[in-house]
Amino acid sequence: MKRENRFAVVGAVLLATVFVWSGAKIFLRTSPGLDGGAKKRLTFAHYLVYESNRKFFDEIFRDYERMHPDVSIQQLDVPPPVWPAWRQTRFSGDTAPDIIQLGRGITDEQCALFLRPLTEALREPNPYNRGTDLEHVPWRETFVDGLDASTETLRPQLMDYYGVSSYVNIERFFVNLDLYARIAGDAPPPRDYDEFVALCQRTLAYAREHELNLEPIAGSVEFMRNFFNRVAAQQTQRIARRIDLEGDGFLHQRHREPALGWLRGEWNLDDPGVRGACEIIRELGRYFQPGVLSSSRDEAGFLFKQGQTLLIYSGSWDASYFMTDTSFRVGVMPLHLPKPGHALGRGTLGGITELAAVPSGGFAITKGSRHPEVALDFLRYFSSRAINQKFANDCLRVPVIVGAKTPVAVAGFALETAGYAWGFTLSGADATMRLFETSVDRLLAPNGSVDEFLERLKDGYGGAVRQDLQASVREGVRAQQRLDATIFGLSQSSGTKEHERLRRLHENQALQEAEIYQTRLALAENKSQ
Amino acid sequence: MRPTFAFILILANLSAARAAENGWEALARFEFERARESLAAEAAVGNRMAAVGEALAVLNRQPKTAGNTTEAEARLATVIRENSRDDAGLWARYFSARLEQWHRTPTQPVAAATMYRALIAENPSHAAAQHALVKLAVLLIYEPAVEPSRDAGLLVAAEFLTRATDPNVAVGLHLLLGRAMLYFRKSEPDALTHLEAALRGGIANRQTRASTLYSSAELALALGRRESALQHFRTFLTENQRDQRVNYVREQVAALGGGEEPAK
Repeated sequence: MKRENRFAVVGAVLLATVFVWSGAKIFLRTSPGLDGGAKKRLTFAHYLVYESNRKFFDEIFRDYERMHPDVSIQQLDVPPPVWPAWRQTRFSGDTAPDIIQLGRGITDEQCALFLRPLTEALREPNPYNRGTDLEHVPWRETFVDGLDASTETLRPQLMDYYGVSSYVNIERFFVNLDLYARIAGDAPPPRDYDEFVALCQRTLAYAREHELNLEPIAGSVEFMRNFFNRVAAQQTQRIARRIDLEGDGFLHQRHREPALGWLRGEWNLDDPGVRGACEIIRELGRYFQPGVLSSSRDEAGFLFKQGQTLLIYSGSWDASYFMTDTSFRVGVMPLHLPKPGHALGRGTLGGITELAAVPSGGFAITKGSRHPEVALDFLRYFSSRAINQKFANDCLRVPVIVGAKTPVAVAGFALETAGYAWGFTLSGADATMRLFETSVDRLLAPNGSVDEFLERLKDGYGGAVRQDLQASVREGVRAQQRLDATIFGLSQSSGTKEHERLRRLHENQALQEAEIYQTRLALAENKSQ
Repeated sequence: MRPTFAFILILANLSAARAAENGWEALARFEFERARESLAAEAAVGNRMAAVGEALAVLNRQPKTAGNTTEAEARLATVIRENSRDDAGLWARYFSARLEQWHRTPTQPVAAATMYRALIAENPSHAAAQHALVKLAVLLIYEPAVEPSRDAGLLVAAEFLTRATDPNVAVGLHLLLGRAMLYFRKSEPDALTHLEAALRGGIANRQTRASTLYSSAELALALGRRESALQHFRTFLTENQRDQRVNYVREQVAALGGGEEPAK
């Protein structure tokens, strides 16, 4: 053999070896034959990246594996900011995990194309609740909301359940209790808005006296939106009564009904409730750290953990971060806002009830799962009362299974059941949100004012409202276009099996179409607004 | 026929039926290209309903283009031309109207209304015509190009109730009319009549039922029908323990003399 031919043969052999090796690697990675030959591998992807969550998942995976020696479960934790892109890539590349967390903007289309509906399975009792009072209760009804409240779990356009939830998110302040004791002594925590403002002022005075770099509240750009929304939602409760299109006591689409009410001239930015909300945001805004609107969640958390603020505005999702591995004692406190009778409480009916707080932390099974029956069994295990209670205890979460208790350490997150329905926010959908967020510095800046903020908002509000409504019409039309196909496909494939779901879809379709036409009419008939 | 040939035919038919079943499932799950392929195979062996499904799949496949709409329209037209009065023909007519109303650019509400009217007039009790009643009612109430007078539109839509042989369609019409009365601030007694009729007929969606109970209670209260208001509020409380409106409703029950409702 000639020398150059020998090189060619060696090259070809090398190439073939690498090819075979790569193929084997790929085959073995996805083969159920790994892990000793017969194990069924499940992947479980989530964006709950705190260490306590990872540890909890690891523990319950190992427990489940002990019960089911033929199964092995691996967790994939993906940071929240990259989650939507990661999810889409996995879906598109047909490399989705077996079980995937819901939320973070998952769409109807993604659910229909890439997830397995759980509706059928949810009708049966959860075997992992055996021996408890939930033993004979259908799985769906073991959740405090029957899985109906959250669009994560029940997709209204599809009328199918796609996931099971695992916790409820509740907004609160975290309090540095050691610092609180130094500032306020034995004084009980604030019971109303004025006492809360007084605490913030006392904190500033304490900082001056002791020459400390200390602010009353830490906030971050991520959660300031929650704060603004909460204030506005309480102070617009009276307007909400006026603009409630269905007369059903609440705004079931928080941006559409206010937007239509605006177009129909039923409220405006000079309404006492709106002004009251702005005055509260301005007053409380003074107590957040400077530059709060450009602070990240991590920066705000760092300030609090370093003892440079007395409070941080966040919620139960951060409990394990702030309440463990912190060098001081941490408590929880609600946001007190002005009530009726207070000079700033002109727009409110009272507090906002958390009775209907929407569960979150939904998990679903992907269509690409190689072991959907195992994934389903694991979800049943994961959402049994015992494991949901363990999740709550280990990760300081508010549980979602009937009868599970909020842990004592985070009792401050127990739902506030008094109060009334939400009003609305001034930043309902994309365009109004952009306008609000690019104007709100006028409300928070020392040289700003409520009037200046409202003037800036007024300049663009009508246009932004119209843009949001037009976008909602476009989205509604897209949904209607697909819905006919869903309904017809379902009616032809399922016989009478899906009769109830079809009834619900038909009923929803008519009402959703009417809403689209209402919006179009309001846009056409109120061009001057 | 030889047994082998018959067996092959049976196998082919079974396979086509399975393909259609998968096609319908794919259609329901937004897998439009897969649905089109499966249903096209079934339509090719003479299943006219599959041909309607295939047209819907074409209409919705991505990216949405005018070409897809035209192709879907042509497929529906073929089904109608072959027979406009059998099951498939009637559904094809219904979806042709839906195409004009929701898929055509710009939409053609008048053409859609004309098609719905013809469908209802010729085959009033067929499921497609029953659904067309609700769709036409929406157009009559809200689309000025179809009915310039809102009062006339509401009146005609209300008359559809006499043609609604499907009880679920009747519930849908009552809900539509009740909510339209509220939206346009029309007659409160009429709105209440429709909403209460929908409640009696059985509302499928829990949240819609809760809202209808609440609206009915408030309307009854405004009209001085305290007993009725109390009954609706109480039913609301019984059925909705976990709802933002619970505390307000409890207060209303107490104010109406219904006693203190125990906190759930």
